[in-house]
Amino acid sequence: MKTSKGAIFLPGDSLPIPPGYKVIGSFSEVRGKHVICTTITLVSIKGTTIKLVPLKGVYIPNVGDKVIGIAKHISVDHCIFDINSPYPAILQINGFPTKSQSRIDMREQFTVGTVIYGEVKGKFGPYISLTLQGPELGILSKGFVLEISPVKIPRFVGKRGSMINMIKDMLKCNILVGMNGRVWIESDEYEIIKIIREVIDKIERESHVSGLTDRVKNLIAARLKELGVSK
Amino acid sequence: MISPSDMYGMSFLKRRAMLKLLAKGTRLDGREFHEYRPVKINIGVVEKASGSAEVSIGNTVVIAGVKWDIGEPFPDTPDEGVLVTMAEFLPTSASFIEPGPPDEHAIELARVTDRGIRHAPLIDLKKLCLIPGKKVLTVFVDIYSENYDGNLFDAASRAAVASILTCKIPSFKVGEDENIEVDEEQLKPMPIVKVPISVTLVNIGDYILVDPTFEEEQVSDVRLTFTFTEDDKICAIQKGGPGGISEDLLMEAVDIAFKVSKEQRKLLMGAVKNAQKENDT
Amino acid sequence: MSEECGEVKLIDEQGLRTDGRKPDEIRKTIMKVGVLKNADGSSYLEQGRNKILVAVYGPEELHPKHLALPDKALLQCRYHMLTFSTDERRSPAPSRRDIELSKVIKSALEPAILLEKFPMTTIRVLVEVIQSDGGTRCAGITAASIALANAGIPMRDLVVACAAGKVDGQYIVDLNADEDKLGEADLVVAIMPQRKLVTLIQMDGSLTLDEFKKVFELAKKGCYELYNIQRKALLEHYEKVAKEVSQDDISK
Repeated sequence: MKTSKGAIFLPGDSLPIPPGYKVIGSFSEVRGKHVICTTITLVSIKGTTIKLVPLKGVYIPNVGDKVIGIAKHISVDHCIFDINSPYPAILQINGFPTKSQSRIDMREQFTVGTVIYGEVKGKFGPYISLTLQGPELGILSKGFVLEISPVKIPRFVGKRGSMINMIKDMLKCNILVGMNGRVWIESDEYEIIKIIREVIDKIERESHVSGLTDRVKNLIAARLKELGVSK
Repeated sequence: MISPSDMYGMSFLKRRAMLKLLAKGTRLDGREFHEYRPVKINIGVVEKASGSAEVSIGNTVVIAGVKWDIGEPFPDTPDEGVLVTMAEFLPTSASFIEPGPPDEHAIELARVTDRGIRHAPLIDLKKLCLIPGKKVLTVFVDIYSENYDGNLFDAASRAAVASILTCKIPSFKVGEDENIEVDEEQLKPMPIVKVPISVTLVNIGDYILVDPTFEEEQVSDVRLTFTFTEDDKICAIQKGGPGGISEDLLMEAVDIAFKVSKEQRKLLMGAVKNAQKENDT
Repeated sequence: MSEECGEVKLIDEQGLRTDGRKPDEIRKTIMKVGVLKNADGSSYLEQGRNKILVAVYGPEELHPKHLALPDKALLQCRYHMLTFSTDERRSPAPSRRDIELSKVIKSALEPAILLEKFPMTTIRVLVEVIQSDGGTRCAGITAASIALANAGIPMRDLVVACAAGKVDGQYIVDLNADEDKLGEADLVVAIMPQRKLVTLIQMDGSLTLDEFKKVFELAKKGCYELYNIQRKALLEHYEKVAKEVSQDDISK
């Protein structure tokens, strides 16, 4: 089996798994000695690893995922959030980040449209249950949220955070990533938000072509130059 | 059918950013207050319709088609053809739009479009009379939204007007026994009088924004649609939205809309002329 | 069949059909994906004079909740024709035909979708016929399948559909409206091309068993030709971007 730089597979396309090879990646099914893609997938082979990176796919919540939610229904003891998933999320009082939880009226804490950074704890009936207890978690009362395909989040973050750290350093602003395809930018400067929006568009379009980090770096540098910001 | 409960509000942060930007003089998509989004007009997209057009304004996409039939006139206008305008929100338009018969939003859209066309008037309905009091031409203008990102009123109006302006109808002869002979070989254009151009704006706080996006419509207090004819007259007005507007802002709005209608008229007439030229060659 | 059948010639002396095609030739077909901004997935297809727009939404929360299935997503399909899509203006109200075709399209697509991944939710497939010229259910299925892939909904395979039939004693593929109306038989087939599963079969007219097998093979041949166009449409965007990016690199 030859080493490939990356080929795009469509739903139903299969690839034989040679003995001793392993397959990593989501949105696929292994049938006998074949792996079958179920979504549009970038397939690459490195050594004895077959790597499947979905280029399209919906967000499926996993325990421990940090997500950005938008409040859509509030009652005394819980709040329902849209987390860009087929299943809505619920925050109950025991997930609220204060000690005196018995006094809390959720209606005083949230309104429709409130944005939060929460962590997926598990399932609660038909809901995904969230917590706001933890570092960085809580209500986001300033900044801006941009959207990106959930399957592109790993590219936006990069290997060990290489991409996101580069973006943060170059633009000098904090960014929080929701695995559900939402990115929060701690900045009210519209120019910064516009640059990050352009970066996201580039990642959406070009994530299947190698050399992405360099292209993003060049893009940000060019935009900063236009703004007259010296590095 | 739009169910408002499903149109859960935009995030607090987006609303906040929008209002902050407005105070600085720009909009979320970088436009100026009185700037229209890019408009694309594709004429003749459905060969089976007598006239058709697909119009996009930014991400909003609307398709319209014209069909004719022979029918009876209304008793109060026995010597005029009949114009029937229908609008439907296709469920492709947005996740919160459900399939079903036209609801109040779709009916308002159809009626406002109809009013602009009827009162310009765009079509000389008297020329569509075949036998006074008995047989006239019925013109159906059917409008569908394919993708919804605000300002369906102008997109619907532009698509309907472009379809009618480029529409071809057969020649009719009244034979013996009042039989109508249809000559499909002899196609002729629809009899046109004046061309209506609608311009929709919204009022958010003290600001007036031309050609609102869906998000701007959500935040706005008042939506206004003014329709103008080429002789600089207003032929239709519609107010929507939950708020009220001061007299001063209303007068400012009509002046802005009038100015914008001039550029939009040029755009539409240019597209129509191109389509007619292509058709002739 | 009808009396007119003998009078209207559907295949001429040269063996060509009313629209100039050979018996085993499919209509000129164009497919595009990602044409609508709001939908999770979308496609546009032109097959001869057929023009089809498809939007896919989901998986998403299902309302009303009592329709939800505990073990899989509910697939909801709607086949709908615009009033000006046909020669005569259609009534805007849904017809019995629209309702049957919606059901048929659903059953053709359902085997391919991994619905069990999303219990309690819905996936909505909205097929809008902008212009119709025979074979719109097939065109709808073919277009819906690439809209689902465009939405990133996991699928075992694509689905592709094509009709074949018999007119003037000859076997033909991809019937147009006249051939559908005046021909002797019309067989509609949808398949999952890699799994080699048939997900839809419908027929009207009259065929011997032997003829049925021949016509079925012809429909299958049409399906595979359309499948190649589906693949091209889905890959087009990625290949175009890859080319653009590498050109940028060279110019630097």
